[in-house]
Amino acid sequence: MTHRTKMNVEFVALLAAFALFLSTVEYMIPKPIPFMRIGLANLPLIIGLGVLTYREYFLLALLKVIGQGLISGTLFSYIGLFSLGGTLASSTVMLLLFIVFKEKISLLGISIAGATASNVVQIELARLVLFGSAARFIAPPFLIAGLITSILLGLFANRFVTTSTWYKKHKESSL
Amino acid sequence: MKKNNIRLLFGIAILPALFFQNNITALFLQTLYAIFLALSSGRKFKLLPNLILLVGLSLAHLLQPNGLLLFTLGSFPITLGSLILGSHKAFLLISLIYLSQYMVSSRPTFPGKLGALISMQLFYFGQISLTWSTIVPKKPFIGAIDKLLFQLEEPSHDYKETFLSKDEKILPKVIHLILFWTLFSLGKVFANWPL
Repeated sequence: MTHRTKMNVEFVALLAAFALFLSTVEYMIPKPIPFMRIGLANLPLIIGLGVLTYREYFLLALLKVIGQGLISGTLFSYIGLFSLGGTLASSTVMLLLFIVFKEKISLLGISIAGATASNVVQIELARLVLFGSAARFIAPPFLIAGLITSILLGLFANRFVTTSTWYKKHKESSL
Repeated sequence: MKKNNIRLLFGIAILPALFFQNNITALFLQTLYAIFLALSSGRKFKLLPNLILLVGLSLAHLLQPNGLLLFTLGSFPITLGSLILGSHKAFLLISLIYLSQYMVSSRPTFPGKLGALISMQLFYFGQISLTWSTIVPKKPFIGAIDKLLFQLEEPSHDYKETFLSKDEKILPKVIHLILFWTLFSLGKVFANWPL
């Protein structure tokens, strides 16, 4: 994490817009199941760990939820609630792991932990809002799909931070 | 009051008419009306996700038998109460999705610093969508993303505040509001009809 005293709001807004762009890219990718998500929009949250302050990081998470809700129109529906719960859970877990383990954990591990936290919270919300006790039947496929997509996203994030010159520039300026 | 926020405010006034609706027939009609509102504001309707939600929720509620036994599938009881509960929840959720789509279709503006940040985010989103199409080649993908992000940080892409203010008419929104609450009242009057 970075320790700037003044918040770089333009940079946060740019990353939040990038998350929106990735979620529209994901929307265009055909999926075998209508509700399945790859979670591409979480990439800015994963790479943001190395270049944002705590406040900027949570602001990015909040902007991602509101922006996605506004673009897809689901901000005031149960989907908005699921998105808020999942994003807050995953960003908190990813940030904690990044702070505690620093260089000892890869972005792959962080991505898997974040996705698991998000999915657990969303299954709990599904139990409370949608399915009741029957939510236990959707939990296994949901968690397995989340594990697979988070591995792919984590591998991509690892590759991004090692090869991107844009990331390198911001990482150096944040030190 | 900003014109962009009129749909949002009318949508908020409609929400209780959906939340407190007990009659499933009236709720079904309200759901159709919410879909009509979303379609009229330029949104699309997809049947499959809604059907999956309806069937999935009804099946999930059948696991907890409730009310009149209609028939059994092997030893699995199909009860009327469970079917009504599941479909009631599904109609409520579907109507909320489409009402939400209608509410945000005029790009509402939020107050304060957060509102300014959301405007900035949407500005950059528009810039990304425009710039991405001009980036050639797109392989390697990370190289293309780098190019995109560097271009957006150039001074020519500095944030300029823009407001979308459509000509919003109040009368149709008042009619929508009255119709939703009329359906709500009918649901109360005919509480036990037909289900």
